[in-house]
Amino acid sequence: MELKQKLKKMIIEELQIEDLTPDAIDDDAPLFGEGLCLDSLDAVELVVQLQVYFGVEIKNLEEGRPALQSINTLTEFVNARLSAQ
Amino acid sequence: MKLSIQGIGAVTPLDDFPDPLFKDLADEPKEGKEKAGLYKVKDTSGVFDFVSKKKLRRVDHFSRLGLLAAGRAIEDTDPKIFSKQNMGVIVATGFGALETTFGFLDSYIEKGDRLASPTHFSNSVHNAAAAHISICYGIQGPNLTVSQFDLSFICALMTAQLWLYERKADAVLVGACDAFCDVLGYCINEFYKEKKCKTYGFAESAVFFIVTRGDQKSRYGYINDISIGSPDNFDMLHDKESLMIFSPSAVEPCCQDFSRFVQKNDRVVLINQLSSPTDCGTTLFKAMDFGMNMLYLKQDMDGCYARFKFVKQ
Repeated sequence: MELKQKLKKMIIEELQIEDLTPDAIDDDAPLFGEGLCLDSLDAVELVVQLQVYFGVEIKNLEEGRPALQSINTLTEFVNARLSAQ
Repeated sequence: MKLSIQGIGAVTPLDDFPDPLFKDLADEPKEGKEKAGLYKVKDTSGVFDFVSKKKLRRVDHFSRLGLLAAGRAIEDTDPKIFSKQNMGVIVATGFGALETTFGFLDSYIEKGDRLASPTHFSNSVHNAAAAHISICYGIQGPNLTVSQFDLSFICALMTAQLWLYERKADAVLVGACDAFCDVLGYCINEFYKEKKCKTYGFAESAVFFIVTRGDQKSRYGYINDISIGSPDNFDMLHDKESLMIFSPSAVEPCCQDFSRFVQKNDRVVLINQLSSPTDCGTTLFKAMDFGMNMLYLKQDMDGCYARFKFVKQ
């Protein structure tokens, strides 16, 4: 399974988003506010689950803000971190 | 000061499983009754009638039980009495959100403190259900969760009485909520094997009442004589018309102790020892359903007594 699909599956399962399939998530849609409508508690959960699933750590707001914009930005961030390991 | 019951709402598995205990309430007097089994609420999807699915995304089973019962109690109450500004919320729970708490502890043990689930933590606190109830139904009065195991519901009733007396609230949504989990089932089985309990059973449930000061006319009846005390000083006044409900604590063999309160020709029901701490709430609900006066007596694990009376009019 490609990374993007894994991230979508992780978000749906860990953030308990019912009635949504990975394919229904728009890669460019905002994760917070509009789009998936995630909130601050979801952000904390997402940071924890990225470390559990991929061993990738988001250490601060400067890293987290651009990474958590959309599925595409998150995929780029995780890809870059995994390549650097 | 007596409490006037204005609205009721319940979620129990007893609708799905005919319960011999509660059937006794309407039958001829018996000396006592035992029951066995673990009863779970099969479906809480009714909560979506009151709160949108989107708002309930992270809300766990324990809080959904509370939300559903509270929603039904609000729906059952005359809207003129239900004022969001002047209503308090009190949730009594013996165990809290057990399944979520163990889920959080499991993630802590397996992954360490840095990777424990924050969502599990936010729902694992005992006052999660009370918070969800106030937020989802827009209730702005004081909010409290009472967790005192067997005596939780009666302590909650006493607090509701105090709030109304002090005019901190004009109405109080007071209820009991407890949910089953596998670890609890394991413990109950172990208690049973070790013969620490005479009977064997647990029923998860949530029951809520909207109560006001006793000078307001009630559709259902009144609660009075709410008290807690030591056995030596505990006064057991009761009228012959009332059904007496005895509910001993979970593991202590305290059934015999109740016998000193029983007089000839009393109508008595003995509740299963390992029922949920919410049993007094569900029993009150059923007594109201059957339209009977009731004296409810609870004994906790330390031997402390608590009681309240339900009077139809």
